[in-house]
Amino acid sequence: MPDFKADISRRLADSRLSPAREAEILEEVNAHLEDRYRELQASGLGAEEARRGALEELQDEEGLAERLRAIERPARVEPSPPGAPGIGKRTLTRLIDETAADLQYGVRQLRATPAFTAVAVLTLAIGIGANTAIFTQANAVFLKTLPVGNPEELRRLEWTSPTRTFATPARSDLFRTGARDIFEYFSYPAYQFLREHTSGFSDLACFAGATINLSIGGSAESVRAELISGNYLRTLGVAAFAGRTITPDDDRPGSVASVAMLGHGFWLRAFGGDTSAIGQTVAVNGEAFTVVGVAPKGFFGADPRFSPDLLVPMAKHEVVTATPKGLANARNWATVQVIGRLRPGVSDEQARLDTEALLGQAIRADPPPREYVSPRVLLFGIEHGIDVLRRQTSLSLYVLMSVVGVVLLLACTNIASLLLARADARGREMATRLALGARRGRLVRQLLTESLLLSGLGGSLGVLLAYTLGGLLPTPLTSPMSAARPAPTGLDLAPDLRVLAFAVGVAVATGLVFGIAPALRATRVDVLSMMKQAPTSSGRGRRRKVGVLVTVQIALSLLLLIGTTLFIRTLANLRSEPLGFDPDGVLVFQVNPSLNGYRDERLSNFFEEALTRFEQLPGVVSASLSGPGLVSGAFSGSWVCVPDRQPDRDRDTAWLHRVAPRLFETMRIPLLLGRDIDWRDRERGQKVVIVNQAFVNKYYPGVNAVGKTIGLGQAKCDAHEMTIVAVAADTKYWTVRNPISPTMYLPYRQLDINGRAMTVALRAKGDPTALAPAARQAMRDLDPNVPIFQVSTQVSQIDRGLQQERMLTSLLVLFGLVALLLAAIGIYGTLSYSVARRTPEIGLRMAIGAQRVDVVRLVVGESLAPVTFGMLVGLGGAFGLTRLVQGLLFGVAANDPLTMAGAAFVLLAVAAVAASLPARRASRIDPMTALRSE
Amino acid sequence: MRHIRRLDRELKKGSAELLVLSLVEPQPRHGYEIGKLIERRSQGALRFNAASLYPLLYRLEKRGWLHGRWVEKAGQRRRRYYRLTPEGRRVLGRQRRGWAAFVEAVRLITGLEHA
Repeated sequence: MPDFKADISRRLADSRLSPAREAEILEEVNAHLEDRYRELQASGLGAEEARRGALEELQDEEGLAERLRAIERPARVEPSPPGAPGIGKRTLTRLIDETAADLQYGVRQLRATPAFTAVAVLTLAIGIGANTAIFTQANAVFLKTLPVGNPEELRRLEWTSPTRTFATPARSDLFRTGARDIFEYFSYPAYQFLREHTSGFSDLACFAGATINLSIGGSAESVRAELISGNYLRTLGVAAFAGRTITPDDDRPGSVASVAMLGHGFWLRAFGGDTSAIGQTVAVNGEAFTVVGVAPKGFFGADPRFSPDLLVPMAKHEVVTATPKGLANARNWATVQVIGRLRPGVSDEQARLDTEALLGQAIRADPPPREYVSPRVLLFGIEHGIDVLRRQTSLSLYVLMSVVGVVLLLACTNIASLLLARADARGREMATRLALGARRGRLVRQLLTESLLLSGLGGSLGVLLAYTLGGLLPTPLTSPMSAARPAPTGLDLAPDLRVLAFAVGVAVATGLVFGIAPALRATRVDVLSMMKQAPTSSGRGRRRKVGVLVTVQIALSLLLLIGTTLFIRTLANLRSEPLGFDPDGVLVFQVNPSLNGYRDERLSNFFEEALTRFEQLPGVVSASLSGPGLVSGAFSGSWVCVPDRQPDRDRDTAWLHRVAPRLFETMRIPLLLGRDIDWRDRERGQKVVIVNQAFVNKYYPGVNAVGKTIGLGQAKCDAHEMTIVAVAADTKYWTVRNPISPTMYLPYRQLDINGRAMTVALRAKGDPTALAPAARQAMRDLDPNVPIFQVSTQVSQIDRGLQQERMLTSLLVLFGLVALLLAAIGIYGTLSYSVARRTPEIGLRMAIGAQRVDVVRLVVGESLAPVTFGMLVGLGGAFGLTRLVQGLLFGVAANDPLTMAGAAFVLLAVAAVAASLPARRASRIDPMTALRSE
Repeated sequence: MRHIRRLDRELKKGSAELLVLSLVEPQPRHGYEIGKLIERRSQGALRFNAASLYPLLYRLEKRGWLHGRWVEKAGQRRRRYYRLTPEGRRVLGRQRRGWAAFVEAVRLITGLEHA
């Protein structure tokens, strides 16, 4: 008997078994070889041949040691934590191999059903693309940090006080535009005091925005400038892109040299990115400034709403704002905004208390005549930029993010139902693989790989869509307030890693959400019955699951439809809201000659001369001006007093327009009583005023107000200051949304309009935009350094004020239609599939006498319950959720029953159409053909 | 190609378990005997050599489907006998049904009738 033990030992050498176990195996295998040897000898082979034959027992592709190692060593069988040394390279390799095979297989599966793949990928692309596009905007507003050094240390100072008599005028003091009673402007002396004495901040800087007339090489335009304290850029930690920054030296009072920095975007636009711009001279409101540097790309200061074209030292406040001694006025609390960098180790509360005490001292240094409550100081982080933009847009962005989230959920339910259908179709494949010993977990993994492959494809296409078409989506990033002064925002909408991570995360989550149920379903098959093609016992279960999906789809779609309808009605209501004047055929533009040194009577004459010239232009019916313009998003108001009326200090206010003659004619505002203002209402004449009906109703109810007197102001109000010469019909004042309020029209010649931009209005015979070139030329002839700006029609100016509503509505309509389409596809798909499955059953029913109408009822009935239930859920959800957007609606209640009923009706109609197609198909089934296929 | 090899291997692996479990169902048997029975009953179509048979046996034992025990009989050398555990019996039943289904499926697809 030959000795086989050496051969066996050699083959076991690599198996890493314990010596005892190895000896045991050696003995057993050796016995096997000896048996084999004996058998071969018995069959007549020679000793050597028998030995070789026996040794063949050890031949194996994989090798004995390797096989044994795989079985005997626990590492492979027992799960070990990821990353633990127990996971060998082999496990990893196997995992990669299997995943690669799964992917290959998945690609083949997807290619085998191109229609399914196309629908699924497109659906996902829309869902993921919409989410990525909206997230890009949210990212820019909420998450990106200021492009400055250590933005987390920066704070913005704001204040609040119940009596603000030390501060006149605090911005938005008279007519609060928001619910907040917090103010962000300070007087310049107060700022200086804070900066000199602060212990909580390593530096305090201030800034203020202004619109200026800028002339470069003889051509003038209106641009956005930012006045900055000399330490502003140092505080933010911003260096110049080219040249140098503005320094504290540039900001000394009486500094001789006038210097300016260009914004990066403006530098590209006006100088083509040529560094020779540095050293050149530009005229700011007619005064020469030397360009010393260019701000870095993407820099927008602290407020992302505005990207300044020009940065100028605060010391040049007088030139830039054309208000003499504006900075020195300690009572003018509408001057500067203040930011600071916290001193290391100082807490917010310490810095706040310190600043509050200092601010109190600053006010006591120049005490107001009446009593006041010292302001409370608030600190706000400006890591992501000043939060005004976030406050203004957050509701719209939340609405949009919810909407695109719903669209994505709809996409998921659609694909899940498609996959569920496929799960049934692939039941036999799964049964076969399970029968062959595949583990269920392994199959689930493979199906999930397919889902992820789908969502990955859809996600890639979606990101592509978001970046090619996303730019066309309107954004909520322009507020109604800034619509009157559209400025390029500093928001950076470029994709960053966060957006990419978001898209990948959404794609993966999507793949898991729509993939997991079908994967579990597909692998939970009863092997035998599936193989035998017996009627599945789980058909009812599947139908129930599909029913749930239809319910979800209907509920989500209804929610979106109701939201969409609410916003459509809001926009329609806003559009049809009576304005009180006729905006059609009117061209409006702004002029601000005071920036170029025109003041007082010279300024008034300038406007009178300009209007005379405009009136003579061919095509002009009439010309006038007002400040502010009508429904322009800007406002101006005053306290008023009326003889013999108990004053109500908080409520006796009215809006005001500074106007030239013929405004009522130009805007077609009916004068109910009295006469228009004319050019004889001059500086030294009797002061006159025209009031609207709402004013009369409030201050002179039930009397003829013409001839009565009123006064402007609060403390020292002379109730006989001016005489009412006419009553005008009511008009909307600053936005279409706001209700009509008491309004006054005062001749501009009798008011101080220094520093104020005025809105010229031209009524045209034909197309108002055709007047623009002639108007521009007429102004150039009068003074080449005074530009006209924001040229538009009155209609589109009003429309700009509705930008947020239009944006939301158009996006909601878009997504609402997508949702409707998805729901229709979903219902159509599930019913079609159901009809296909039940063809033999339906054939049988028809063979034994069912009529077509019975079949239609059968098929439609299958979708009736989930659709009805979905409607109820959707309506319930709408009742709860639409209330959250009440603030964005106009003229329609959030739970408006008509809207809800209308949306439900539309959805029902779409669902009926979607269900009717498969139902018709079912009713045309030929019983014989159907039965034969059984 | 790789796919085909994989499938072949999976097929053999799947069926081999079934074969071994079936053979030890009526009575405990030792390795050599199991190998011989597979070869004989399949009329030589299926053959497992020692290098694949013993790892398979150990795997089934590890899973708790078989129980192996050294038995010494008078005048013979010591041998390791494998018997079916209750768990193994359940698995065998399941695998039998699965296999029957598979065969049925193949028949349905290929259209062959039972011999």
